[in-house]
Amino acid sequence: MTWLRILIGSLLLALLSDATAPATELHETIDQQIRQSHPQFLAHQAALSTDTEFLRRIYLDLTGRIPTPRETLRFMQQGDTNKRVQLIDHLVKQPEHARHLQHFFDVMLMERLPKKHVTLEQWQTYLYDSCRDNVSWEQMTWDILSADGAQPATRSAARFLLDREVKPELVTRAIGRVFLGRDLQCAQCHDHPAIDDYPQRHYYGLVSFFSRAYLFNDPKSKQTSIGEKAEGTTKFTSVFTNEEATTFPRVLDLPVFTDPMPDKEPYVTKPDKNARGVPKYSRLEHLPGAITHADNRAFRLNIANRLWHFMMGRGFVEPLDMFHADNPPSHPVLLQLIADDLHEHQYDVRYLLRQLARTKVYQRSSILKTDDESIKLRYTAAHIKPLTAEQLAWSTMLATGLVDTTRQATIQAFLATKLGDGKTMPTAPMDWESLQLHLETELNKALQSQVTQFTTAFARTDGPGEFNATANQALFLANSPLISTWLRPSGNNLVSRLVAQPDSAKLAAELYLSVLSRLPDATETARIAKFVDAFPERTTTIQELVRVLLCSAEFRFNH
Amino acid sequence: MTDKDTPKATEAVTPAAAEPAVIDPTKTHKVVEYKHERPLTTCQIDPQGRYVFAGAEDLNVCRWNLQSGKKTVLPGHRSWVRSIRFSPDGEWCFTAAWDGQIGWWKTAEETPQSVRMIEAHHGSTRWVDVSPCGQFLATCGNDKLVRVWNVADGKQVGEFSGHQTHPYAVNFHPHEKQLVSQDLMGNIKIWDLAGGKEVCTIEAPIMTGYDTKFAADMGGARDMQFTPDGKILASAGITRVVNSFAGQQDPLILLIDWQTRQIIRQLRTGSFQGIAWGVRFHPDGFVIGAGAHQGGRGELWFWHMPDQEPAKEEQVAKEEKDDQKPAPKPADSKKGENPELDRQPFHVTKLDKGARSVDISPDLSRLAVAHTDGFARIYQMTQEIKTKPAPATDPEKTKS
Amino acid sequence: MKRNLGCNPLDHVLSRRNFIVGAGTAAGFGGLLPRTWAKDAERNQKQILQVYLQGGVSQLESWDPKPGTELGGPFRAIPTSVPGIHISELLPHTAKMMHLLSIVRSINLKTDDHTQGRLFMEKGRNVGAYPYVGSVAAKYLDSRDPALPGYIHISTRGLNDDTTGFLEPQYGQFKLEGVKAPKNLDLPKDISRKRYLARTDFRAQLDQQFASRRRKSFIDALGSSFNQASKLMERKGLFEAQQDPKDLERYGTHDFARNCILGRTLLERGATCVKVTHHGYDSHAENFNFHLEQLGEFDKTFATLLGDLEDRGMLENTLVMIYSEFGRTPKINHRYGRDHWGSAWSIALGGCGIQTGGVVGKTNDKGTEVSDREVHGGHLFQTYLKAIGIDPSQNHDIPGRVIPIGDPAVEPVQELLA
Repeated sequence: MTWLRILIGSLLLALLSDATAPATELHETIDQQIRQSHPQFLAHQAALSTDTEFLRRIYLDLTGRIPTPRETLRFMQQGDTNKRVQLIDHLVKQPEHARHLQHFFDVMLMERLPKKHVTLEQWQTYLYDSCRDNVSWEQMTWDILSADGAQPATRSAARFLLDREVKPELVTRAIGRVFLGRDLQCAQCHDHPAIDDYPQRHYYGLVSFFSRAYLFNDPKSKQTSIGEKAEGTTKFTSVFTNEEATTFPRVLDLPVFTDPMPDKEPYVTKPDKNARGVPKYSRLEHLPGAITHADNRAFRLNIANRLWHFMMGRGFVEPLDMFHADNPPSHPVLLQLIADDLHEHQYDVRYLLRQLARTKVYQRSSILKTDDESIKLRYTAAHIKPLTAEQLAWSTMLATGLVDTTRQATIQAFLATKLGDGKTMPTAPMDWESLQLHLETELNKALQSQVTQFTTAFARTDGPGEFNATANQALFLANSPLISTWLRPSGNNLVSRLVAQPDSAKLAAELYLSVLSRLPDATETARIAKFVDAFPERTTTIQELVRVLLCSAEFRFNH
Repeated sequence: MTDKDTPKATEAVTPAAAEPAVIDPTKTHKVVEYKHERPLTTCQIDPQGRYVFAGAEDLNVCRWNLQSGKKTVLPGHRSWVRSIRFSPDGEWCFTAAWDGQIGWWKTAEETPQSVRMIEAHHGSTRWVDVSPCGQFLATCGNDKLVRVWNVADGKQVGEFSGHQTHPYAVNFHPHEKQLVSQDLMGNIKIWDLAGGKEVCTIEAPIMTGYDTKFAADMGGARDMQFTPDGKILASAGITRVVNSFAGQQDPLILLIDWQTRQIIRQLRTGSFQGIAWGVRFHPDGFVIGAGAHQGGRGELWFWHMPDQEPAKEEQVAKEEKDDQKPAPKPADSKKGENPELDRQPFHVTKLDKGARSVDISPDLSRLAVAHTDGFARIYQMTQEIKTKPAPATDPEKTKS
Repeated sequence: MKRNLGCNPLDHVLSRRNFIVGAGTAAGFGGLLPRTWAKDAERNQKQILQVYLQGGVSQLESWDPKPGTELGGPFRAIPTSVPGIHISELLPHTAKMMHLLSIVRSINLKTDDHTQGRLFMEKGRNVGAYPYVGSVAAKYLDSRDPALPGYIHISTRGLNDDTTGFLEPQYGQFKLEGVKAPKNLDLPKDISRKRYLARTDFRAQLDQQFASRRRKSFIDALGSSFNQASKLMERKGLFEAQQDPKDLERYGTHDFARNCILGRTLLERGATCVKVTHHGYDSHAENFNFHLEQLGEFDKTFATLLGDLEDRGMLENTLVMIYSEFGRTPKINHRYGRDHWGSAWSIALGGCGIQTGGVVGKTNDKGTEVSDREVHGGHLFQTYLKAIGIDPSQNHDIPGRVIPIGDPAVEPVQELLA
């Protein structure tokens, strides 16, 4: 295979390299590998990002929002050479980081499917808590693939299987894409016609884990959970060849899980209309272990690729769910190194994200040094990433001042409960961390309906893919009543502050800091002044000005 | 008759030999098979038990003599024949084809020619049935009409319109002067022959499915049958569509109480995915179904009649003991699914190839099944008796 | 599915063309051509109606029936308004309009894959990131109404393809979800048109500055989406109008009918290319029942649409394409199904530039192979473009690049061209 030759060549190159002292931390290894991936890399690599470029980018990537003007100015004024690392370490500890990862995992795992049996709140709380506690990806996989929905403590995690109703055509595709980086959908009816690595037996090997599972509706509690029968075989037929085959559970071409000899009494709980079936031997029980097994390299390669894409904007393998021999990674050695390193660190997501954020690859400017298309693809400059629906929502709300206003309100509400009404005893004090968590949760709840309007307009429901800007999205940004309400002058929101600012230079500075997280240059300042003077109604003009920046490419993209 | 037309007899008995009279579906076994070059679409045994007729994926009707095995091909239609019926005395055979025509044939003629062919419908004629008195035929076709014809002269004597989607089958009631027809969307319409009007519609959305992936409806009665007393109507078809363009749906046979117009049984087929193509009632108190799996094999299913069902506990224990297990899927109340009405077969006979039609012999001991591999196979529902093979017939001596 | 390893296959085309040109061979024009060739008056204001039958419509149940043969299936053939041409009985209304169409019966794409078949039929090439015919038309044909997106795809479901290849993003398909009007077509209160234009100008300036020395594709896509949004706002009335009940009575009330009515309206208003997709035809099981239903829905609606275009005098300037990604196997499987078949199948064309009332190509008696005049997606692509006055042997109007519009290895099907 061609990509195997590339892998061996790259390994030799890495071994013989006399570039620098041996890399120790992962981020250094990454930079070294990227540098060595092309002979002209150094000549083409972009400059490091400026402080404001880096700041905006890291805030978006680690907290899901742009920085506030205060955060921007503070960072700009800091002289510490280590400030970027400190900022990274600071941000990964914030509740907003957990929230942002919650969104990431939610979309990855559930593809924005509507709620069926597990409420969105339950599921998202499970994800948030897991991210807040830095639960490893391996553990999350276990949680998700072992939850049957019957136990309250683990019911939230059962959404992945439950809300797909353990339907083979839904669950198999999801497991393949999310945990293995393979979209096996086309292998349901026959071997994939175009991809040799996706045979029908891979599809049904996965199906076989849960082919005995079924949805059980408890007549008393009315709750739906997953039951399992003790018998049933998995047969499949190709619509092209009509050949019939059977399989036991297996992941890709790893060893099968053969059923044991049938027991005289195969059930712990026999299934009937009042009882969820629990067999003594459960095929489903083997699923998480099989997926996360050390021999299943697809598991670690997939998550490494996805987290790389999360930070860098382009995976080593693109599309992310198309790992196969004819679609090799752009940097096969590096992908393996990152995957193995992550495995050795017990799939600690926070660890990997910190390492990736510290790389020069990540911190390069998005301003290109070269026009050479082939070089561009190999991380000489940062990739522009479209903001996700949630990032766009939060950044827009923050820029216009809605977040601040709402946060004030949540603090007031919190203080009211804590301080009481003067007649009843106040509740127990809270430590600072718990307070931060609580306020972030309340803020998130308070603005959830606003965020939903963005996810409706901007979220793709057909899986991850290239940026596809639609006219409908443009109409939303340009004309939606929702954004118009945020632009009404109110309290100390952005439009109010700008309307009250007579100095055009200060107005431009405030505007740019609030929306674009940087200061304007002289040309930009002059352009703002001209725009403001062009129309008589100042408030309306300033609203338009804010709207223009919100519609701009600089705001729309993470650069 | 050529060598290739010589029926393949099993080790059991030749068709003409007597079998013990005890009907026991659990002993169902193949006794003989008749070959045609193209897959078969339907089959019927004449009321006198002399022949089995079959339609196929060509322009022919095939007739096999059940005594001699001799095959006769009846050309005349211009498309596939999908439905065959006989006059009550068995002297006449009527065929309906996708060319829109219905054909009249003398059943026992040496080399039958169609006595009459009429254009019954604009587009395909899907079904033909014969009135209990033998004087009328009923047909339905892709023009969404149900029509009634005079057997004697082939003239149209009635027409019923009202189906909004294509009707797939039509039957005369054994006693009442009524017709019943069912369409793609599961609507079962009852027609009053005397008044020429629709009596009512029984909705059976459970027998339909909308494939969201391909934006297409699937449904329609693949066979319909009344009990001889006319109290119960059976309709065979599909339910629970998953991917109908790949054949992933469940077979289903509904039993409907004629008087109350209510569905009284949902006859399921375990984990078998495909289509129920045929249904028959056996006077010994069971229902027979035949179907084709999406993967190419087939099954014969045997369910108890409602009044012959064992006690519930016994039923559940049996289901758990046998290979046929209830498909663990939630009921779709929007489609009128009622899990209380579900029944699994008490016996299944596995078939190598899909079954597209089933009929019972007049002596009630045998089944004729039309298969997807072009064979019409006869199955005996009695204990298999192993005898010496019948002497091989000399093709030269049986040449006509 | 091949990943772009960073070396664009088009670069090889560029190199090859330069080599050919540099070697002084008679390979036609190389290098840039001035845009004036795109302003040929003959090609102005031509339009395309694409009716895409998604999933692979069976040629044996539509354009190339073989009744009474071993593999012909149960349906019969019926005569059409063109003596000697018969099509399936499932298309009785279309049969009456056959004099407005021609059939190509000899397509061999050498693929049975949905995606590869679709892309080959849309792009005229079976490899490479080339633009769809709709995007090509949007770029090179002058629209009677520049306010409408040049390439509009009406479908209640389905894929969001990137149809531009290397063309500018504004020529990508604009997807309408059936007849639902896009939301937010109204400007905010107190925002006059003058203010809106000022906002639009300002945004364009900001984006131009931002785009300087950055990867452009996302930025251009964003800009294009705002431009399209502006155009849609100008045409608000078009999307919000109720469909005429008389039209609904004639076309039908199902989704495909409504989409066709909207498609006709958009063409009447001057949209360059309108594509209406009808789902689905991928009948591996119950092929005959499903084609009966799906073509039953298609037939009357399409015939009505074609008739309306004729009555309005639009056929002269509107190319009509009815196509799929492949046909279906002559062999009927045990599920009464037919499977994928890219080897010998058919499409129908009509309208602008097409010699109608004819049949090009043949398959053998059983339909198992092409017996005469084999063509593939490349030939057809060139034919569509020639029909609407675009010369596929010319190069794309892309600064700094030399890319032939059509596959230089093939030619249009001359017999189809008027």
